[in-house]
Amino acid sequence: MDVWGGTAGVMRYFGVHPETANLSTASTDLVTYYGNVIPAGTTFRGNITDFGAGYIFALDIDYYTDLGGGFGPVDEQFVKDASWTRLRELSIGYGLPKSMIEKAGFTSLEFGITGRNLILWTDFEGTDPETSLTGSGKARGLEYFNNPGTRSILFNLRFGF
Amino acid sequence: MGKIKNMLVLGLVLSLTYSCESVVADLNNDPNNLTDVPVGLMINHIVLNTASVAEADPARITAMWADQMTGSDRQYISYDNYNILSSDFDAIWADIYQSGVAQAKIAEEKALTDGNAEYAGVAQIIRAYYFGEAAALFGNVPFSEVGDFTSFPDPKYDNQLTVFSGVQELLTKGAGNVIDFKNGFGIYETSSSWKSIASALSARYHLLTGNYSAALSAAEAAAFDTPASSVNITHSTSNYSENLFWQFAVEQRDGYLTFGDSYMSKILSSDNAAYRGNSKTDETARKAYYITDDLLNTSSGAFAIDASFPLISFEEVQLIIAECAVRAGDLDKAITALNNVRAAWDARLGGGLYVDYMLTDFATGGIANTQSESQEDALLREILEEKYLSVIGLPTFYDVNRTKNFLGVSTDRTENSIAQRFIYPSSEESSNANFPGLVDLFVPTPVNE
Repeated sequence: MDVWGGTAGVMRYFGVHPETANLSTASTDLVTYYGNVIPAGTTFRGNITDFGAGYIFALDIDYYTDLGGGFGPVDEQFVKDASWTRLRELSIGYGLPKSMIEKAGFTSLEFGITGRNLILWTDFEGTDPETSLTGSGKARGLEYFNNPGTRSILFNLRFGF
Repeated sequence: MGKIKNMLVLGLVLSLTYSCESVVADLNNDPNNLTDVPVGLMINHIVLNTASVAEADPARITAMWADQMTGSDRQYISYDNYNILSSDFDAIWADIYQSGVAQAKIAEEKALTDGNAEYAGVAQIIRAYYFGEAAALFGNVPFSEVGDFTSFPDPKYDNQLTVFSGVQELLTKGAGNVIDFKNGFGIYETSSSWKSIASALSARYHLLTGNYSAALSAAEAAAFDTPASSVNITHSTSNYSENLFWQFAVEQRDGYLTFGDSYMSKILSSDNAAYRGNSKTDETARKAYYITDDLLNTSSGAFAIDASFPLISFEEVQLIIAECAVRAGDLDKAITALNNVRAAWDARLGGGLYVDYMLTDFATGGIANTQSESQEDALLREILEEKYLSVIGLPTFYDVNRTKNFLGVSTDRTENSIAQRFIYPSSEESSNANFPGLVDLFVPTPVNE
């Protein structure tokens, strides 16, 4: 399942995505998005990317605030595989032996603990890909500062009479 | 007895069937769901809608592309760098065609049926405006088959030059109908009659096609002789009627559209090497009128909450006269028109800023000939620069491309040339069988080929 990771895109625009914090050193003279030249050996904030066919660019703030960021017109770069596996629910319980509870007038007494959404395995970068930007609406596969699915831990006690 | 009983039953049935007809008659006509309105209620709409072309998205985008303004935040950085999609033009196309052309055509037909020649003329002039701007922005556009869904569900795209000549015909027809009619419909504030407005628009579109002699005579016929002749879209401080640049910059998208490092800002800034001031020209007040700390002056200047915005202005028409006069070799007429505009700015900004130019100022070595060029070229440069600083948005974008960027305004940050046009919208691509295919942003429109 593919999901548009809007959060990661917009974080690149604002320079708070870890990728935009990288320091890179130009091995040869590099051209930036706005056509400026970064001389070989210079260290700059940003990344060096090979777009293929010999086009190697220095991606700096000018790139991330335009095509490389989430507000630009190219969204496809942020559509990522968002397959996931999760531990949805785990319960363990224990029923006390009858001999211990008969005197108190119970036929049974059990206690237990249940956890929901304990572990999520996914390579998707962003909030829980099971959530949807539009809530229960028709649009699916949109991730943009969604509220994550909640994790909950429940304790329970059951008395039988 | 049985017969009488049968008669009674039949009578009862008949009376039940027919007697209450008046109660349910017209029940299916919803009085709240209007199917038609008189032309008097439509005409305001088609006039008001011109603001969504002259002052809204198209004006903001062209101001960025002509480098009067700068896109400084989020989507506007991309727009300024020409990273824009065909779907970004859907709303603009709808404003021009659905809300503009189509409604103007209906209004015109209604007015003609009512025998109201003045309203018919206004509708024709406004329709010409929408078509003119559509052709100037998009190149070849639907024209001859527009507004007749039954016969032409898929209107063909007419050549831009055909559209412009059709626009001139519409303006002439409209001018013939309005005669001396004056009415801003509560939207425009102007001392000009509709006939003058038609002439002024005619001058704008003749200029676009490079027909300078026709542009000159139309501009002179418009008689936009004082700043009060400008056709100003009025605004007020009440909600939704504020200046549209103010709404955008203050209420909606603070910081998206600025003067940043625009060419306009550079030539107005006395601390910049490109400053255009000289012993007869002081641009400090004009800079303050437009710009506050690189942002739009939304408190008191051009983009104040209640500042009006011109559909077509005194300055534009005077400078059309000036440019066409230079091209016709009549430098005296040109300099008079140029000085008219400078004097208007001087009066608006408090005086002592602009002293009238003389022809000698443009001769080699003159104060207004900074690039050591011929007197004609220096004067032309000054006229175009004055227009660049006096007219915001669409007309300036057209000038920059028509003159092959004679002024040398900065091209954008990622490209070496200036966008020539708007891209056809995705709504047309998906709904019009005669869609001609997407045309690249950098392909000149036929008039500029």
